[in-house]
Amino acid sequence: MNRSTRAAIPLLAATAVAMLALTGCSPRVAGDDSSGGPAQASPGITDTEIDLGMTTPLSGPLALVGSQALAGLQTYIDKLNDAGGVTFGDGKTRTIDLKGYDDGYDAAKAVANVQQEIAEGKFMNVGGLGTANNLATMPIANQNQFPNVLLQSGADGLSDDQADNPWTIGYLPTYTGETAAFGKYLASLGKPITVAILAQDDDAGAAWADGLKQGIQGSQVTVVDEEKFEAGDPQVDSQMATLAATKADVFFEATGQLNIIPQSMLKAQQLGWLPELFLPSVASGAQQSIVPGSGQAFPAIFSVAFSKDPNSPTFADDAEVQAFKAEFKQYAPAAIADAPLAQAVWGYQTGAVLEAAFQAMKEPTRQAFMDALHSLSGISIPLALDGVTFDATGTTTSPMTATVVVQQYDFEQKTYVNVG
Amino acid sequence: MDRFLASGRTRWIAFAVLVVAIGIVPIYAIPYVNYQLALIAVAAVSILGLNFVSGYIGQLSLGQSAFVGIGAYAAVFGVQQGWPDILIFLFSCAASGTIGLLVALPTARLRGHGFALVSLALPIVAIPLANRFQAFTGGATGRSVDWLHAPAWSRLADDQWRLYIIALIAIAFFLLGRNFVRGKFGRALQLVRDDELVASANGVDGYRARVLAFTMSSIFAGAAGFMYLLAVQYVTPNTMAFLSSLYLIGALVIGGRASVVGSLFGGVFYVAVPVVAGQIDASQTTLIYGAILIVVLFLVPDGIVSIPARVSVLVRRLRRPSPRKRGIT
Repeated sequence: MNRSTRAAIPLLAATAVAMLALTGCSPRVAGDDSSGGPAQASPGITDTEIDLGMTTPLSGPLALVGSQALAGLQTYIDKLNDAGGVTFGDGKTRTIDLKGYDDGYDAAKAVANVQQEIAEGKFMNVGGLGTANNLATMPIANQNQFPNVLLQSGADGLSDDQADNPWTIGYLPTYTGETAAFGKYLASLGKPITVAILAQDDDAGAAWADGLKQGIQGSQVTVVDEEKFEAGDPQVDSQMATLAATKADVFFEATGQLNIIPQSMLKAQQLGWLPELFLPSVASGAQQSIVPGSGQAFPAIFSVAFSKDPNSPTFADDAEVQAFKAEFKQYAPAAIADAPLAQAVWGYQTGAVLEAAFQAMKEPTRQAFMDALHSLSGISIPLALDGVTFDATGTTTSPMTATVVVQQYDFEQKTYVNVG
Repeated sequence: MDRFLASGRTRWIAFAVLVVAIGIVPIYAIPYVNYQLALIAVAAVSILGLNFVSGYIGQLSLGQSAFVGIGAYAAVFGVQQGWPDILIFLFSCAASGTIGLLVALPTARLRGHGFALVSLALPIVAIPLANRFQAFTGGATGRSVDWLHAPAWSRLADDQWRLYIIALIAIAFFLLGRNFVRGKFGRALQLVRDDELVASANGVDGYRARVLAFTMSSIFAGAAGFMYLLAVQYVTPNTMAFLSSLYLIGALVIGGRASVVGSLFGGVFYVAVPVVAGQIDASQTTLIYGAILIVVLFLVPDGIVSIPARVSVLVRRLRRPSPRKRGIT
């Protein structure tokens, strides 16, 4: 150790003492629960305001979509506040404050952020984007009885066990739910159909494949082959050769890997196998998958959706979409205000769900909020596709799973249109 | 003044104050503060390990995050098998250390950019590997554990109990690291850094020194991985991301190169600055982090650890006009 390091130790000790002084003076005892009687307000809510937090990636590779999720919810909340706030179920009108926390899609930071929200007296964590970061915060929500709701992830794990994790619920249709909808669509056609599955060998891949199998149960639709590949594999040529040999009617992509999907589509064409194609919603984009995979070679391409795509020509004249775009332009940060993505739409919808839950909330407590949220069913969701309904009463699935719409890609309009 | 601060007694008093503070703070602090303190300890131990290679030997290593991840995944494995905690801890250190040794044996012959490139490959290879062995690693979504709760007799909350364990490990590793760099071996490392020819003339084998330094570094990272899992209770392949390694290197330089105490400052910087940046503007954390990094490096190029020395230099300059007084003190 040189002289400067020696001298630095007292500096360090001084920092430690200062920190001690900052932490306050009353020791915490295990099981010391500050919650009093049932009517006592939870932290983060007064008679005039409710404070919300959102941990979401605002830096790193997912920064764009994470910021969109935040801006979408912020837009809806700002609109409500400008109109004077929301009248809650207890008769009081409150304005809503939302603060974003950057987790950079890092589980450790997400946990820190949720603990910070609790420490800063936020009422709940809402609407953050991502799977791993949100799964990591679930135990913290449980321990602190802290609502951690309407998260932007399709992972089944966030919603499928609400008996054990009563404070967490996702928002997007679960992977299982969306492919089950497609399975039901195939079954509804009432004819023998064969399906070949290419699945990435992880939780998401298994969920997509399981959903399809649930959807086609008891119908004439059969899965003739399922080939797996390890997530991260650069190519799937041998799996594609096996699948093509089945000459199945439907090629079902149970993967969100954007390097694999176009490649597998091209390989199928090369092998002379031209089935109808299914793409999961996370990878159904024209520019992501259909164009690079020469999708026009296939007789039909299906995916699922539940909300209007603000960038699709189909909805260019849609009043709701136009209103949303105008509001987003007004309230969202300038850098993204002109280009809302799907995540912003979902964030905006989350705001509508919160509004409905607040209106149904009888007491200013976190428990009352969770009860109100779980009582919602059939409420109107802005920018939802026709036929989509919201149902948060289930305890094993996310609210948007109840109905998703099966869509077919229209090459002339360059967009998806509803079929089921 | 300088001599006073440097005296052994002051140092031990300061160390004692620090230990007492570590003993008291977790009882009073809210879970959020305890969690951040735990993350500081995790970062500090991994930066101290990195310091052996990048600070003392002066060899840039970009793979430290991979070893932290290996330590954390090793701990996940131990938890899944239901091993006793002490065995899990040893396994974390051993797994990371063994892989570090295996990597170091062939690559320690490389110098400069060659070595940096090989170390850069570690996180790049480790992430797809972690995605691949899904049954054990949980793939891209990672693995969560529910592990090491505070025993009832302690009357502590989980975050307090875990922070005590983490602080204990961190103190042990800091004492270990201090003895390591102050002894014969630390001198050998610095000799290798300054001039390898002189080192070999003095009977110090540069290759062996680098292998040992890298292995020690990965053992420290393995311990940090264990602490990470204990604090976060969750690990994803993202834990090993190359970017984390870069942030660790940045924090090392900020704290102070080739300094044990500097590693602790580096840990504080690594954890606290993104929090501060998030408070200023959550959507610009990276930008603000970068700005703070540049400002700190501009003001104290030798790291935070050099602040007292710089201050005392300034103070001495101010006193210089009266040489007679200097003679009296």
